[in-house]
Amino acid sequence: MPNHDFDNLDFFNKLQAKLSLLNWWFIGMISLALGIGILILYSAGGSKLDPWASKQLIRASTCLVIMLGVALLDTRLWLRTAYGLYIISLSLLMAVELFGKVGMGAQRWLDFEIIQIQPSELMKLTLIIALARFYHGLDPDRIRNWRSLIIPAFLIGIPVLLVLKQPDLGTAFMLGAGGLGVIFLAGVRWRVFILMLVLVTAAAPIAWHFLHDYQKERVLTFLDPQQDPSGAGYHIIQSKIALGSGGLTGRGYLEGTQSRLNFLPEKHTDFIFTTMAEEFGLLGSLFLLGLYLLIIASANSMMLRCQHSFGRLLGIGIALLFSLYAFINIAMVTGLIPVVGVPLPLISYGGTSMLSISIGFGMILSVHIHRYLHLSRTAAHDGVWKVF
Amino acid sequence: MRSETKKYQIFTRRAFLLGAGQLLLGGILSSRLYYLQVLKAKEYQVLAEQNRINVQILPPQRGRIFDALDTVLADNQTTYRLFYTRDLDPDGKSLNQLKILLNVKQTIVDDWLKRLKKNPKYRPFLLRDYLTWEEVALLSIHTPDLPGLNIETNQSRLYKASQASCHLIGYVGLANEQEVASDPIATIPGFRIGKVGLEKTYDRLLRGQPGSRQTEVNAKGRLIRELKRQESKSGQDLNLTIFESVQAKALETLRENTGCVVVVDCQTGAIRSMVSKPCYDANLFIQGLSPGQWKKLSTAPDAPLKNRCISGLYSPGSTFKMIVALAGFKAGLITPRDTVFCPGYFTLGSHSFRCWRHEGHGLMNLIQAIEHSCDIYFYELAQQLGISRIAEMARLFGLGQPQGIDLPDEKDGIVPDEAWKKKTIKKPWYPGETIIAGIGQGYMTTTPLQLAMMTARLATGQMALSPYLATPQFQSDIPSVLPFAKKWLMVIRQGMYQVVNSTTGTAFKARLIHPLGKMAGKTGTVQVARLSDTDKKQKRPDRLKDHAVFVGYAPFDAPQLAITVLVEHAGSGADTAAPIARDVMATTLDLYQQHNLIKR
Repeated sequence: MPNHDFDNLDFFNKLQAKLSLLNWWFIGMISLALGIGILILYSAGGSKLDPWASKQLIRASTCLVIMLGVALLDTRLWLRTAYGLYIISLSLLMAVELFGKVGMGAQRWLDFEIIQIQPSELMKLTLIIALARFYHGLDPDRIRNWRSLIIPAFLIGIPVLLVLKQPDLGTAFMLGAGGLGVIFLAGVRWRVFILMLVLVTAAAPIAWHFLHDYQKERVLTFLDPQQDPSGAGYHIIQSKIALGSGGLTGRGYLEGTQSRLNFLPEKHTDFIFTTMAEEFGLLGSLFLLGLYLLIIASANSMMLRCQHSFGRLLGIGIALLFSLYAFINIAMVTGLIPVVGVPLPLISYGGTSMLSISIGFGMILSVHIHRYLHLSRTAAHDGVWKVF
Repeated sequence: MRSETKKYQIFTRRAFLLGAGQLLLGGILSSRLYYLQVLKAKEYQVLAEQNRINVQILPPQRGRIFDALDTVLADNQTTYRLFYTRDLDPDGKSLNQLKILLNVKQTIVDDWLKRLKKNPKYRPFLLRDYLTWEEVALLSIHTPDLPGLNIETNQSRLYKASQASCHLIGYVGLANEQEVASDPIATIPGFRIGKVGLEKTYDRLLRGQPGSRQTEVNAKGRLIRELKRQESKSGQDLNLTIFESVQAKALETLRENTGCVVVVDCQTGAIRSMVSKPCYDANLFIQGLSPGQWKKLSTAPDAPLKNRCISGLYSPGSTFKMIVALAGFKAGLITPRDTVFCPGYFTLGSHSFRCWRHEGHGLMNLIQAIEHSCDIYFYELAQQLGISRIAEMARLFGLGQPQGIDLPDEKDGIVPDEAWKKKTIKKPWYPGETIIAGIGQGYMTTTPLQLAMMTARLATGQMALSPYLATPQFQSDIPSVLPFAKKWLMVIRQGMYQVVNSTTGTAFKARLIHPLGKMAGKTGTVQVARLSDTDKKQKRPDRLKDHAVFVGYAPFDAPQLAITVLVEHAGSGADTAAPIARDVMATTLDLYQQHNLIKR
C-alpha cells in the first residue's frame, strides 16, 4: 500500500509522491477541452489568434498551472478554511451589491483596476466547500434531522438571493442546484426535496411577478423566438440556424459562415458551442458532449474512492457544478431553455469561470491524491494546519 | 466508524442516482442536437444561406439611339442616388444633418422617418434620386458627419435630341401593373421600359439583359466579398433613318404654328423627318413628372403629347384630287385632253357647291385642274365615279389604313363608302357626299403620314412602299403591279409639277430651286368647319380656321423624297404649308447630296 501519510516526508519527496498520485488522464481530458476551446476561438476570431485565441492560451496555461498548484495542496487546508472562504466570498458579493460595476445589464463585477472579479463565480465554489465541511462534521442521524437544515438553508439562501438581485438567473440557479446537490448527496431525507419541488412549482407564478422585464421577455422569447426575430429572439434563432446548418459533419474548420459573418452574437462566449457545432457538425457536438460526460464521470468515480465525507462531497459538488455549466449552456444554445448567460466551461472566452473551474478541479485532484486520508468529523477543529 | 460507513453507503447510492441523472441529461441534449443537426439540417442550411448571400440585379445599359448620321439622340447618363442604412447610424443624427446640408423641408424628413420605420434596419433605403453634382460634392465632404449615408451611381436616360424628335423617340418610365404582368424583368425596382415612341417599339432590343451579382454579407448587411457575377448585356444601339438637322429645321420653319412635317424616302420608305408641334421635353419624364406637370401636358388643348404625323386625323382636302383623277382614268371616264367648264359653282339638286375661285376657272383639262386646284372639275368627276370607285382607289394608295410604321399608336383614318356609312353612322349615303369626296372633304380622314406615302407612291409608282424609322417593316399586301396604265400616272405628275413650277400654279411662290431638281406637289385647304361667306369675312376664332396642307416630292425627274406639311388653322395651304415644304425639302436634298444618298 503506497505511503499516503505525507506528513512525514520532506518537501521534495512529498512533491514527488503527490505528483505520482495525480490522475493524469483527468488532467489530459481537461487540457484537451482547453485546447479545443483555443482552436474554436481561433476560428471565431476570423482565423486569427487575436483577439481571443492568444489570450485564452495564456489563460488556459495559467489555469492549468493553478490547477496543479491547488492539487498539490493539502485537502485539509480547504477543510479548515471553508467557512472563512465562504465569508470572504459573501462579503465580496455584498460589495458588488453596493459598489458593483454594471456590465451587460447586470451588476456583477468588481473592478479593481487591474483585474475584475466576479464574486458570484467564487461563491459557487466556496458554497460547495462550506456545505461539504458542514456535512462532514455531522453524523447520519443528525443529517436526517430537519434542524440541521437551518444552517445550510442560510448558507445557500443568502448568496442565491443576493445573486438574484443582481440579477443573474443563471448563477442563482447554479448556486441553488449545486447546493441542493451537495445536500442530497450528504443524505438529507427525500421528503425535503419533494417538499421543495412542490413549493417551487407553487411559487412559480409569484416569482414571475418579481422577474425583471428583460427576464420576462427572455422567457417569452424563448417560448416563441419568432415574435421578435431581430431583437430578443435573435440569439436563439441564429444559434439554431448556425447549429442546424452544421449538419452531420459540419462546414469544416474555419468555414463557419454564421459565426464568421457575425450572424451569431456572443460567438466567443455564451454561444461558442454553436460556433464549434457549425464547423464540426453533429460529430463535433457529440464529441465535446462526450468529453464533458467523461470528465464528469471521471471526477465522480474519483470521489467514490475517497475515504472521507468532506472530500467526496466537495468533489461531487464541484463535478456537479461543472456539469451544470455544460448542460445549461448547451441547452441554452440549442433553444431548450431561455438564454441565461452561462458560459461553456473551459471553452468560453473569459477568465473567471475558467479560473474557478480550474481551482475546483484542482481541489478534486487534491482530494484524489489525499483519498486515503482519514479525517474525523472533528478534523476541522483539531488545530493542525497543513497546507502542503 | 459505522456512521462513516453508513454515510458512505448513502453517498454512493445517491451518487449513482446523480450520475444517472447526469447521463440522462446528456442523452436529452444529444437527441436535441441530433434533431437540430440532422433532422432539421437542410432547413437550417437554407436559412443560413439566406443569411449570408445577397443577390443583386445588375441593370443593363440601355442601347443608345442615333440618327442617320450617327448623331446621338438618346443616351445614358450616370446619376447619383442617396441611400441611408439605419443600422449604421444608431444615434439617428444623419437625417438631421442632411436636412441642414441639403435644405430639406421638415415634411420630407418626416415622410422619410415614417417610411424608414417599415424598412429593415440593415437594408439601404433610397432617400433621394438624381442628386446634383454640387450635392454629391457637398455630401462627400461631410461624410464623417453622416454615418449610414451612402451615394450610389445609377444609369439614367438622357435625351440629347432637340424637342423636335420627342414624339419619335418617346421616353422610358416605370412599368405599370399590366406591363409588369407580361414582362417579369420590369419587376426589378427602378427598371424603366419604353412607354411611347421608338423607345417602346424597340424596347426589347434597346433593353439588353440584366446581370446578377451574388455577394456575401454579414449580419449588418455590409458587403464582405463578391461571390458570383454575371455581367449584364448592354442593349443594342438603334440607328434611325431620320436626320436630326432636318428635324430641327422643320421645327424652326413651323415657327409658332401647330402642325406637322413628314419626309419619306420614296425609293426605300425610310422616314427622313417626322416632326409634330407642339413638342415637349422627354427628359422631364425621366426624372418623373409631378401630377401637376402631367395634368398640364395631358390635358393641354393643343395636345403636345400627340404625334400628329401618325395620330392626327385630318381630311386630305385638295391633295386628294390626284386620287380622284386616277380613279377617273381607271374607269375610263376621262382622258388628259377632256375638258370641263368651271363656272365657279356646281349644282346638285337644290344645293350649290362652290369652287374656291368664285368666278370660276373656265375650261379646264386635268393638268390645269390640278394646277389651279379647280373644285368643279372634281365635283363632276366624282359624281360620275360614285363613291365606291373613289374609295377603291383611295384604299389602293393606302389611305384609311395604318402604314405599318415602327411606332405605336398609328391611326387608320376613314375612307368612307356606302357600306361604311351604313355600318358606322347607320344612315344611307347621300349623293352630295360623293361630290365633296371629290375634293377630299366629308367623312374622309387621313393621317399626314398616309398622305406622304400616297405622294411617294404617286411619284414612283411603287405601291408596296412601306415606311420605317429603324428597320424596314413588313411589306403591306398592296400589289406592286399598277392596276392602271403608267401613262396616267405621268399625267398626274405633270399636273403636280405645274402646281409648284407654273406661274399660275397654286404653289408657285414656294417653288424649289435646287441643283438636284425641281419639286412637284399639291396644295390643300382643309375645311374644319362649314362657314358662310359672311363668317369668312368677319374675324373668326382660330380654331375654326381651315388647316393648310401641302404634299410634294422632289426631284421631279428622279424622285427621292416625298413630303407632307400640315399647319393647323393656318388658312391657305399655298401660303403657309408649301413654303415650309420647300425649305425642309431643300435641307434634306442637301444632306442627300452631301452623303451620297441619291438612288438612281
